[in-house]
Amino acid sequence: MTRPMNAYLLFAAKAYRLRLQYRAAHLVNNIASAIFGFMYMAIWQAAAGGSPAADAYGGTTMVHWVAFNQVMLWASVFLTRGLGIPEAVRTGVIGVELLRPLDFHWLALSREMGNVVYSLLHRSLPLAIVFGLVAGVHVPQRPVTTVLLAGGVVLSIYIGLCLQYLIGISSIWTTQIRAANHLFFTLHTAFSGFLVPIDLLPRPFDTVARFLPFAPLHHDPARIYLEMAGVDALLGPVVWAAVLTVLCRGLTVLARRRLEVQGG
Amino acid sequence: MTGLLPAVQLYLRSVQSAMRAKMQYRADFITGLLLYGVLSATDFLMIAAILTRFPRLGGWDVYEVGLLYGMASVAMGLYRTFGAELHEFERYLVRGEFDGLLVRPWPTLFTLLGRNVEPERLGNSLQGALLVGICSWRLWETGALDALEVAYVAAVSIMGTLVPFSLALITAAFGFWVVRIDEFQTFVMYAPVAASHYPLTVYPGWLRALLTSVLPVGFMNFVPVQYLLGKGGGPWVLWASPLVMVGFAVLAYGCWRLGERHYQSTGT
Repeated sequence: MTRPMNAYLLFAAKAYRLRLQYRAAHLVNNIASAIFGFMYMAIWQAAAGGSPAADAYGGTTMVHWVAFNQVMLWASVFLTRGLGIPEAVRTGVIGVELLRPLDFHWLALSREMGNVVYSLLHRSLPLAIVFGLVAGVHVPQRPVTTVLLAGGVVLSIYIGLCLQYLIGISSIWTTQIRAANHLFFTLHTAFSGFLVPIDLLPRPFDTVARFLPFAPLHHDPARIYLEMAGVDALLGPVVWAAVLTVLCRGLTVLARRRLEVQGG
Repeated sequence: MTGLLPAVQLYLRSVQSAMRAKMQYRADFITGLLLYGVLSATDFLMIAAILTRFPRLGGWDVYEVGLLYGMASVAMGLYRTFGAELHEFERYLVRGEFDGLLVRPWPTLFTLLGRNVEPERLGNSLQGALLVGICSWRLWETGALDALEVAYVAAVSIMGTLVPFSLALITAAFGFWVVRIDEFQTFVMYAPVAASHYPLTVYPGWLRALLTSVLPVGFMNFVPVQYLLGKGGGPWVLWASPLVMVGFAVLAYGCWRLGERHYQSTGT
C-alpha cells in the first residue's frame, strides 16, 4: 500500500506532467504576461519616474516591485479555479474524492502544488529572466533577506492555495463559484499590493488592506525582496496561514456532512 | 445562404429570447451587474491611487485618464454582453459543437452570437458610462471639451465595442486551425484592453505601435481623445478612428469566413 505522503507526491507529480502537455500554449500566455509587466513598469515610470521619491516607492523601486509581483502572480494567484473542486462537485466525482483514504484538504493542495511547480519553472522563471534582461535585477544586499524571502514566497503560495481551496469548497453549498472567484480577483486587485503598494492606497483602504489575507500574496514578500522590511513582514503571512488552515479544515468537516452527489 | 436582413432579424429575436431567459433569475442578474460594476470600479481605483500620489501620468490628469478608462469599459462591457459565446468559442471547437451551427440555414456568426447573452456584464459598461459622464462633465467645465466633443466621446465609446469584438473574432477564426485559443485571449484581448486604460504615450514605442496597428485598441479611446484634449494628432483622427474600427471589423469577419471554410470537426 502506498504511504499517504507518497500518494500526495504522486498526485502532485501527475498534475505537473499533465501541465507539460500544454507548454506551447503557455508560451503565448507568457508573452502576454511579459507585456502586462512592461505595461505596468511603463505606467509607474511615467508616474513616478520624473519626480523625486518622497519615500521608498520611487520609479526604479516600482519597476522591481512590478517585475517581482508579475512573477509571483503565476505561483500564488493564477491557480486552478477553486482547485478544481467545483468541477468535481458538478460531475459527482467529489464523492470518490472524499472516499479516498487521504486528507481531502492536503490532497487538493498537493495536486495543485504540481501546477505551482510547473508554473514556477515554465512561467515565473522565463518571466523573471525576461524582466531581468530588460529592466535589471534587484539583488538583495543582506544574506538574511534570501532566507526571509524564501519564507515570504512559500507563505504567499500557501495562502494563495488556501484561498482557492475556500472558493472551491464553497461550491458544495453554492454549486458554482463564479461570484466567489470574481470577488477574489476584485479584492486581490485592490488589497494585495500587486500593482499599487498598500502604503500608497488612500485612507481607509490602506488600513483595510492590512487586515485582509491579500497583502501576504504580494505586498509582504515584495517588501522583503526590496529590503523595505525585515522579519516583521512575515508576521501577517504566518498568522493568516494559521487562520486559513483552521478555516479550510473546519469547512472540510462541514462539507463532508453537507455533501450531495450531483450528476453521475 | 439567406440574406443579411433576415439573419439580423433572427439574431435580434434570439437575443431577446436569451435576455428573457436570463431575466428569470433576476437576483442573479442584479448581483452580477453590481459585481462587474464593482470589479471595474476597483480597477479604476488603482489608477486613481497612482494619480493621487503622482498627479499626472505622462501629462494626463485623473479626469483625462478616467475618460480613457471609462470608454474602454463601455466597449468591453458591451462586447462581453453580446459576444459571450464568441468569447467561449474554444468550447465549440474542442467539443465539435460548431457542427450544430453549420447545419442551420443562417450565417454561423449570427447563430453563435444569438445563443447566449450575459446582461450582467453591462455592469462594466454602466460603470464605464458613469466614469465617462463624470470625467466629460469635469472636462467640459474646465473648457477642455465642448458639448459636441462630449457627444463624440459618447458615440465612440459605444462604437469602440467593434475593437474587442473584432479581436475576439480574429482569435476565434484562428481557432479553426489551432483549436485551443483561450490562452491567446490574454495576449490578443486582455493585455491590449488593459493597456488602453492608460495614455499610450507612456509605453515604449514598440508597444505603442502594436496597440495602434495589429491590435488597434488605441482607436477606441486614446487616438481621438488625445486630439480632443489638444495633446497631439490632427483633426483627421476624428473620422479616421471610426473608419479604422469599421475596417477592422470587416477584416475580422473576412478572417472568420476564411477560417470557417477550414473547419474540421473533432468528432465525438
